[in-house]
Amino acid sequence: MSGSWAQRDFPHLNTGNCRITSPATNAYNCLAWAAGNDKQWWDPNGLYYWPKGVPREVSLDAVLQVYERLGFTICTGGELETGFDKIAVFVKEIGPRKIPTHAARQLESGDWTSKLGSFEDMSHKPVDAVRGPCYGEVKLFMSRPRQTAADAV
Amino acid sequence: MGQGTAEQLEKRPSKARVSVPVTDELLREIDSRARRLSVSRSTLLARLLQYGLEAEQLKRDQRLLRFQTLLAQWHLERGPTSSIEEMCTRPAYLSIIAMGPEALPLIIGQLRSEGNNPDHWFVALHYIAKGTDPVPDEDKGDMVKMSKAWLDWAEREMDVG
Repeated sequence: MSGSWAQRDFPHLNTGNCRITSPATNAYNCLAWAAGNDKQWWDPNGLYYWPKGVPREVSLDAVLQVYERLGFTICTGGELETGFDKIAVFVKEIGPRKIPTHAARQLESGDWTSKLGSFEDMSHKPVDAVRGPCYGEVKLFMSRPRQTAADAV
Repeated sequence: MGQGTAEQLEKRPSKARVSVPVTDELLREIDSRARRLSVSRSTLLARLLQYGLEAEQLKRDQRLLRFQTLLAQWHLERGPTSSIEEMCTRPAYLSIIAMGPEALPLIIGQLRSEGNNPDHWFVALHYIAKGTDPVPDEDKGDMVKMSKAWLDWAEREMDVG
């Protein structure tokens, strides 16, 4: 494991629980990658792509709306369920604010895949191997009936 | 023949004439300084012009160095965040924005050099260019298309080499 990130940002990652799966790129970010999109950077900032109708604000509610529009609903946990796609939404709590920081997508193997900002994407297990000072903790899981490649965003 | 060596040619003053309107007061000042330095008016003016050009080049070099230093600092500061708000409010990024219009050609040059993996310069460009956003809605989020829209904008609106 030799990614672009600093160890202090992901103190729980190690050679045994993650594998880099792409070069570092600015082409897409975690929110898009969790939805299966590797062509866009999704952000509520008005200069970037953000799904129509979703408030352009940095809030957990807005991020939930993004994925609800793609058919996801909040579910109870991140265990592998046949026939379902799952994502995990990470939040960092600063005082009363819950700031959404990251989303990861479950692979068919049960491992998880994360795009780390402008850095690489990687598969990891467990899902919260990327928790820490940058991404905070997993706040909730969402799921939808598994999409075929043709359904992907 | 009679054209001299390359070295001699380099040192030979050009005979080009430049006409610049000056006030009588400024002309008296120029002549006074030329007398103090025991040089002709034209020699003094040529030297001043040379110093001015060198000073301008020095300023450009200093701006470029500052930009490159801030760029390196920004890359260190921003870490693995996916948030544009977080990324573009880092001190180094804000310092680049604070450089104002002088930063525009540097950012555009940097964006051009990044080719198919453009970085997140769009917020800085947007602010420095007073709210401009040349990216069509359908291309937002596509970093390469966003970059191209800004490079095209620079070609249209700026004197960027």
